[in-house]
Amino acid sequence: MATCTFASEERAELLLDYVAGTLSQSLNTEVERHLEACLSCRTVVKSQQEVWSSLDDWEPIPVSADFDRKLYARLGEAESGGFWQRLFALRWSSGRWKVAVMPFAAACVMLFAAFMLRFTVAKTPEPVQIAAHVESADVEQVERTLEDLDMLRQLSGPPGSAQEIQ
Amino acid sequence: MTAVGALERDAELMLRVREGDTASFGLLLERHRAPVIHFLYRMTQNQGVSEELAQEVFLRVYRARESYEPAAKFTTWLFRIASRLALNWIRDRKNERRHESLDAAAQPGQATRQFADRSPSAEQSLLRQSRLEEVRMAIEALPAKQRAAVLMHKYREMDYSHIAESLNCSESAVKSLLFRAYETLRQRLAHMV
Repeated sequence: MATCTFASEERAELLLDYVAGTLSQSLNTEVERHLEACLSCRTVVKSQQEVWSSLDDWEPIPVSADFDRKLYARLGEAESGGFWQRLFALRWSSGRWKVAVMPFAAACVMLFAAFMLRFTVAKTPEPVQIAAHVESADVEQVERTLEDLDMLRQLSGPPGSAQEIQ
Repeated sequence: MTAVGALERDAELMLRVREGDTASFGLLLERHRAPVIHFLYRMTQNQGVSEELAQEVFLRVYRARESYEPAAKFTTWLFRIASRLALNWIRDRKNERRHESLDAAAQPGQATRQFADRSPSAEQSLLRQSRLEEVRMAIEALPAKQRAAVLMHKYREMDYSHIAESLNCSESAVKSLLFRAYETLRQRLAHMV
């Protein structure tokens, strides 16, 4: 048997397109001319035509009568769904994601604030002790400051006098 | 309407849907409902599942209306969604898929399997049904992606580039899928010749 002159990759595509009827007129003529001389390709074409015919006979079942009704019901649910349904149905590309992020961010901030407040309240006793310590330290500091000011006045004399600090 | 005219019409309708025209969505549904369901039926070989998946397809088309760009061919986009859903379903249900029996009684709301009735005698009718069952099983035995490629190529008459877009792979990969699939079908159905 003579070897097919078509390259294997070219052959598969040409024969498939020939059976499918998608070749151009010129290529169709070329393939038909080749088939007259090539038994191998004729066998493939015949077999492929049988497969094609068998697939043609496989008709699908009719569409259910309530298909559209169910679809529109689902569309209606999707469009008029609750807050969370709308939230999760948002598409990022439209920029509407910001609407979803804002309430989520606000909720996070509130949770964080609540957590910090609880943490701060738990530490309440300490500030009283610290305040008492600071209070006593402040009083001493004030007394020393006043003493320093007295010393300065004594050193500087009355305002405008020649006995300014030397 | 020519093929080109139909494509332009699909894009035009989808743009109207993008603008909020739900009637245009209805027209698209009318035009593409059956092809999508039939494709999904041949992929899953289960009527209930095919219609459920088909509803999901149109639901996603509607939800994505605002981001639709007419540069993409509508049917390619449609079958990209459909094939992705079908491939996911097949992957998820690989070990659980139920086979419908030709003798099984019809469930309420489900149609029975129908075949083109061209045989006058009962014997020819049985022969025909047997042949079709062979075809159905041969298609079912194909790997999911090969199956999707064959169904789009044969029943939707999609060219290699559009099948590639729908399956999210290269054109050469599609050719490879188809050549292997048809080779398998030829071998499997050779005894029927």
